[in-house]
Amino acid sequence: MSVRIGAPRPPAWLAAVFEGAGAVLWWHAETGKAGAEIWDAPRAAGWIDEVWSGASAAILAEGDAPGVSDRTGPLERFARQAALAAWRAAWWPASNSAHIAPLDPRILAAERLLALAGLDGAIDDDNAVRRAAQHLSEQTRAVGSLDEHGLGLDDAARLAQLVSGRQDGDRCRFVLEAVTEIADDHGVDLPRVVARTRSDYALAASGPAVGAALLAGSDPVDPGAVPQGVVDPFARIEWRVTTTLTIEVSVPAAPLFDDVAPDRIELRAQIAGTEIALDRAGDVWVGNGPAPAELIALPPEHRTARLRATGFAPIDGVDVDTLRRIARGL
Amino acid sequence: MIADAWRELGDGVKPLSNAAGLPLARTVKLVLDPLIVRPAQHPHLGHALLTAEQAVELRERIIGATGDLGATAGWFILLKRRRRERGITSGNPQDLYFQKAYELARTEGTAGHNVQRVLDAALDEVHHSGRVTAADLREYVTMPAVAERARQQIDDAWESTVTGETPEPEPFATAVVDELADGVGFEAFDELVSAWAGSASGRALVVRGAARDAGMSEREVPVRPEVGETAAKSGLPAPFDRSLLERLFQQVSSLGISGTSAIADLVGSEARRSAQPWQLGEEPCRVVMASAAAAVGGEGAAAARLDDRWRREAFVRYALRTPGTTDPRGGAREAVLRRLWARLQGRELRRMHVDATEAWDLIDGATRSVILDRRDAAKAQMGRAA
Repeated sequence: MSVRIGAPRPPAWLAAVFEGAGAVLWWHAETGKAGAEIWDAPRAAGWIDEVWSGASAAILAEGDAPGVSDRTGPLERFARQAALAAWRAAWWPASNSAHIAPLDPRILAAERLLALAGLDGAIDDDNAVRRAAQHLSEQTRAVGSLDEHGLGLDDAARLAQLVSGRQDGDRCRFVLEAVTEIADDHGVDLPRVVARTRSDYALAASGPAVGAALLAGSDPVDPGAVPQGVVDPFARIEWRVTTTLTIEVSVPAAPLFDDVAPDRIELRAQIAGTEIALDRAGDVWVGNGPAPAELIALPPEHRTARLRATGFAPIDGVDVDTLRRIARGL
Repeated sequence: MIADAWRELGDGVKPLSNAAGLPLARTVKLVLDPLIVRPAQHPHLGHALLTAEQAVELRERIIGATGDLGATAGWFILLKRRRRERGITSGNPQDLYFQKAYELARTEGTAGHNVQRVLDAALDEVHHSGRVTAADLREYVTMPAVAERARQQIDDAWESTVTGETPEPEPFATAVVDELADGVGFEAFDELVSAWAGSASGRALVVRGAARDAGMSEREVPVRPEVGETAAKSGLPAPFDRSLLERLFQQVSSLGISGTSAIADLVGSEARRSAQPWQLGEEPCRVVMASAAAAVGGEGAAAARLDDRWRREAFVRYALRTPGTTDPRGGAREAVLRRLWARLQGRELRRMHVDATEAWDLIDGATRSVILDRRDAAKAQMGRAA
């Protein structure tokens, strides 16, 4: 019933997605290759040629996955940037150990708002722009208002491509005014919030006390096992069993943008099946609990450590080196 | 088609257009469709696929409105500017002012100078403080004499229309909804309306357990609604279990009614609606409900399209890194039917008739809306896990 055009759909964790009216578009987060599933051709026909010239003809051809035209239309940039902003919000591998700084959630939200406003009428959700504006409003309340200083020139240049009109003066201000105007058009007030006092997460760092261990081990973090912004995706889950038969676990946390308090997440480590609840203390997650005697008897290859977040289904096959390459633009 | 014609209108309609110069979602929904194309009056123009002749007619209707649309854009900008000057912050300007701007375009022409009086009058009308609010409604229906009268109206309506017989459930023509999903089948839909097929399907809900299976009630057999004393957005009961107050409070302030006699009429008509099949007043709405009940969880082409939505949703949730551990589709059939019912009842309250060309969009739209709400809920749930 539906028709696919362009590059095959990547695995979900590498797919930057735009949900259009009648068609889902994707860009491979690493290669940039684009494709789409057209699930309602008449609906998609109203706008998809503005993304890729001649896409409608490709839909009608109904052949084997026709390619996506290199000739892009005026909406391509908007759809691609909306998709990539959503991908970065979900998958950006912020890490202290890999020196990948967290992204400003307000800039991601503002980029998505501008992009979706440009796509209004081509989205599979008539309220998408308002939702995006509300999301930016929430981020503003949490982090503080986005100003010229916070936006920066590089981001302003990228976001300015999503704004029509003459750009004579200060580009940052031009972008910020456009963001405010769009939010206002949809009845969303962007509050003026002075950046809050930062949490003391960064200062309260602490790890397990070092002492004699009967047993110790570590395994790499699987970024697909946890939501965004919880743990450092390049770190290892370290655990040890003390002489008092206590398991102590520590995992480096994901760096927080501007040290703003993170969403509360219930995180547990499973050491060979034994669950240990973890708490975030500064830039590390720590926890401890009684070690069952069987753990010590297990052969080393069975003493594996993994993470589990309540309410979150693990995503298989996420490759952290690929995420690193994307983040570094290699 | 609409896109091509719209482009011919040029820069004058920019405030109503997106980055590619195509009409905004609300331009289509609030201005183009209901006020210019008007598929209810011109059903042949509502088809997803038009013949060459119909396409020419559609284009002519849009091009013929060039002056009105340009003036609408101008009035919209001025209304927004005046709104800001007056410090008005309530509501969504596009939702509130698009149709008002079109009305001004038709009555006043292009906005000139010295229009502040006109703008203020329009804003006053839109944001009129004398309009009946949810609080007014609650205060009214909780007055003992009013509540008693409403109770009587419910009883009268139920006694005159509910026979107590248990009809044989009739198989609903699922072939029609399969056609609607493919952008055709409008005539067949109209035939179902003429044959009162929606009413027949609605009457079958009195069979023990049927209304519950359709998501309309938690009861085995629905009972007459209460008049109601309180109502809250969260935790609303299933549609047939809602009191009159719960059926009306979210919509009342946007209906633009004022005065107690208007509230009394509203309450009286809701009492009568509650006794109708599907507890809806218009046959096309009942046929949409029956179509949706057949499509959601069915086996035909329409069901396949809705299944595709859920399949894509699974992928998008993983792409957005928000997969929950609970099945996002659990109880979705009932949720979609409830959402659809509320939208249809809202249309009836606004006296916006539903026609065949909108039927599939309404069913598909209710499904999409449930999907998006569940995605948001999954995200919020993850953050609240601790």
